[in-house]
Parts: sequence; C-alpha cells; structure tokens
Amino acid sequence: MLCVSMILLLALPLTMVSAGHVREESEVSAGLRVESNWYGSIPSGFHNDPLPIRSHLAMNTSVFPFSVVLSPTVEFSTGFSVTYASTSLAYGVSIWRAFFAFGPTVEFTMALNPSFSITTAGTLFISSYVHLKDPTLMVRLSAIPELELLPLTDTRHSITLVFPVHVDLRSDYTSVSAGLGLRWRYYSKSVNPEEFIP
Amino acid sequence: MRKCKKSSFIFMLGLALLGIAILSLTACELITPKPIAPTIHLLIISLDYKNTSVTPLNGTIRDAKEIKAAVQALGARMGTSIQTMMMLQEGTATPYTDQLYPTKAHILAQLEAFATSVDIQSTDIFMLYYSGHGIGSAFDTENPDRGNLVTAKPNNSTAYETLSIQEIKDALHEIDATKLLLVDACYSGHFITDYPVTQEMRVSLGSGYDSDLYYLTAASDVQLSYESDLDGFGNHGYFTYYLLEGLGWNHSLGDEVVTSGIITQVGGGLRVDGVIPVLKNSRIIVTDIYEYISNSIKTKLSILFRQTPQTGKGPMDMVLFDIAWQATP
Repeated sequence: MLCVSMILLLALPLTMVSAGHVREESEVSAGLRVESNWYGSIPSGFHNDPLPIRSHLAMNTSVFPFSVVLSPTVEFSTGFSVTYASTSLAYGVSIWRAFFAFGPTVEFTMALNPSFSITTAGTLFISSYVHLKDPTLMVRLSAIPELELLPLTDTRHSITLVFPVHVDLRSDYTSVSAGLGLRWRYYSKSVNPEEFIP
Repeated sequence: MRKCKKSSFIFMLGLALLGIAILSLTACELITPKPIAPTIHLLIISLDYKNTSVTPLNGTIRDAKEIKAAVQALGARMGTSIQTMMMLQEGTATPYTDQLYPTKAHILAQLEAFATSVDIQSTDIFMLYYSGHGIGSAFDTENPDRGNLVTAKPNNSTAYETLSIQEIKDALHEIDATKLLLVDACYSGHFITDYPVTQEMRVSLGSGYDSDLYYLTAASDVQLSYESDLDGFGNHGYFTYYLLEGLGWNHSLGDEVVTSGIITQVGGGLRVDGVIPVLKNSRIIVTDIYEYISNSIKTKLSILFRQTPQTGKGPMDMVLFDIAWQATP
C-alpha cells in the first residue's frame, strides 16, 4: 500500500501539465475508483482509550456502473463501494480491530476548471469487524478533489488522480481518512478534439 | 480555456499541508511515549468437584495446569514477565481454610487483594482463567443466576456455592489493569457485557460496559461447554484444548504424571522454536485467539452439540503478547 502511495506521489508532478475536456449534457459513463488511505479512528469517551486517534491503513474501491453528465461541469454518479481497514497500530496492550464495509454510494462531481474537479459523496455502509460477523451501519461523507492526468489517445477514457477525504459516522465513534487514488471513467462518446486544452 | 497555475499552486500547498497533517496523526501511536512493558498477572481457578456431590469434571484441572505452563512458557519466549496464582480444588481433599482453595469467599478475597496490590500497574494485564461448572440448564432461560460459577464447598454441610457474574465483574472492575476473562464453563456467554451500540445510530450507555475488560468464553449464554479426550492425552475442555493449541502447546512433548490422583506434571510443552498459530506480526491478539478457537471447535463438534465461543464486540482489541515489549523498559 505504501508503495502504491509513493508511486502516486511521484506521478503527481505530471498532473501539472495535464489537460481536461468538456463533456456533453446527458452523456453517460461508467467508472472505477481505487484508493489507499490513512484511516484514523477517533475514540469516544467511554472507550477510555489512551490515544486521541488510532491509525489504520485502508483500501477503498468504488464501482460506478452509471454516471450521467448533468451539465458541462456537473456529473452525477451512483455506484457501490467496498472498503477494508487494517488493524490499527498497537499501543501498549490495546489495538483497534480491522473491519470491512460495503454499500451503495452517490456522488456529485463538479469541475472547477478544466483540469481540476471536486466530488462530494455519500455512502451508506454495512460494516463489520473482521472475524466478528457483527454488522452495523456506517455513513460516509466524502470530499474528493480530482486532478485530470495526461490526456489519453482515446478520449472516451478519463483518468484522474484523486485525493479523497472521508468522514465515517458510526453510532459509537467517528473516523476520518485521507489518501490517494485513481479514478477511471469511460464515457459513451469521445470529446471534440477542439475542446482539448493546449 | 486556460491553465490555472494559481489554483494548482494553492492545491499543491493544500495537499502538502494535508500530507503533514496525515503524517502527524499517523504517528500518534509512534510519538506518544510508550507505556512500560506489561506484566501478566494470571489467576487460575479450577475445580473438578470430586470432593462433593456435584457432577465431577475430568478435564478442568488438566486444563488449568496446562494453561499455567503454556502462559509461562510463552512469557519466557516473548520476553514478558508472568506472575501466576492457582486456586484449585483437585481430588477429594477438603482444605477449607487454605486461602487458595476456591470457595466463593476465598476467590473474592484474592481478587480484592489483587485490586489493592501495589505490584499491579495500570499498564499490566490481569488474566482470570476459570474452568469448572457454570450453573443453569437448557430450560431455564429466565433464570437470573444462569452462567454463575460453581465454586468449592466451604464446609461439610454445603455441596457448593455460586459466584455471580456481577460479583466477579465488580471485583475485576476494582483492579487497575487491562483485564482478560477466560471462562471455560457452560453458559459462559452470560459474562459478556453488551457493547454500547445500537442500530439507531446512537450509543446506549449505562450498560456496565467496561472498556478495560476483554472476554473469551467457551460458549454462548444458552450453550453447554463440552469436554472430551480429543487426542488420547486425557480429557480437556474443547475451548481450552484449542486455546492451548492456538498458543502452540503440543501434547506430544512431554508425559503427564499423576500421583495419588493429583497431576504433578503436565503433559506436553511449548517447543522453543515451534509454530504458534495465533502469533501474527510478532504479537498475539485476543481476537485472533477467538477466531482460532471458534474455527477449530466448529470442525470438531457436530451441529447437535453446538458450542460457539464468544468475545466482546466493538472496535477495541487486546494485545496479550508482543515481541516489541522486549524493547521497552
């Protein structure tokens, strides 16, 4: 996971010369997002935890079978997310459990300029600690800045570098996570070459 | 359209700040001064009921003595200090005045002594292992005493006493350490206090939840806990047998010696360089032990004799052994 993060960090300067494009209204797409995150669990008072925050590593994958372009700068996506957080780092005799979660997600992506957009998302997760089979509900709110990577030959494809920030709301404690990832979109139509940014 | 150099710069700056924040937070476990390496204080309570009219159990004492040997051997291997106390009722003897004879009063007195002992630090681990009867039957689901422990008879006129779950929890609550309760008894799932979480997205407190108390119980609150001779080395409780196996105990590494009905030497041992199934990433975690025992019992017992070990819910878990503790004072 660390290696993936390093590779993505090294790829970051490439985004400085990236280009974007404009999509047509009502155009549809499908997509996939994979992320690697630092995941921080914030203990509640009744946990009596000696630390203010517990650090995990997390992986998140979201599949978007249906997205629609609502306007040249706004896209709406529905999909399904799966996430896994490892056990936390140990501190003394305590450690926080690993968990996995899955559930439906909805997103709005707004382009702020041709190469930069921001996505806000909400996900309703069914979450369970690994080995315990004790499902509970968890709501995830996300803000995900996206930078368009280098243009691809086939303009129906789009790959963006994403910097997701998530807040997970549970009944007993809250978590925050942040990381790096990639999002791939496949649109129903190619864009007009004249709309490429030089 | 134009390139947005300014926004890219702001974005990069924001990203850098975010990265710094992430690194700082990630290091929380690393930059906070580590607590001192814990000592494990192990109190073992076990009864075979052969000095009373209660149905005798043939594996409990063997379980208890092997647990003691296994934890001590693991402590030596993992560099963790172990202090052990045994409260046994073994065979037909009736040492009523012996403070280590496990009557209700003696058990509570010992727990109180642990609570006031200056030898136990808040960073230590207190383990209570019990193997014996848990009171109840399959038909008394409303019995408030279900799951209580059956302790040794205190005199010739009483067959046994019971120690309630609440009495044990209250006594454990007074011990300022991280506690692990291991109960190999029928209906032992009653020991587990519900984690304060509901499906209504709110926490329900006031349930007596103790974040310092971790559990491993042999059965659920409606199940029996079975014992049997699983490998030709004598009776063991299923739960304790697989607990021992998970900790790396190997019954073929030594012969049990029984003198006048008393086990004077346990059978088996812990191979110095042997595999410890529950040792992962150089540490042993309670949930990994739970998983190992649960999966092992599932393959051994038929569906007619279901026994599903239990552990506490919620996000918190307990590290029982950690090689890294060797590096801390």
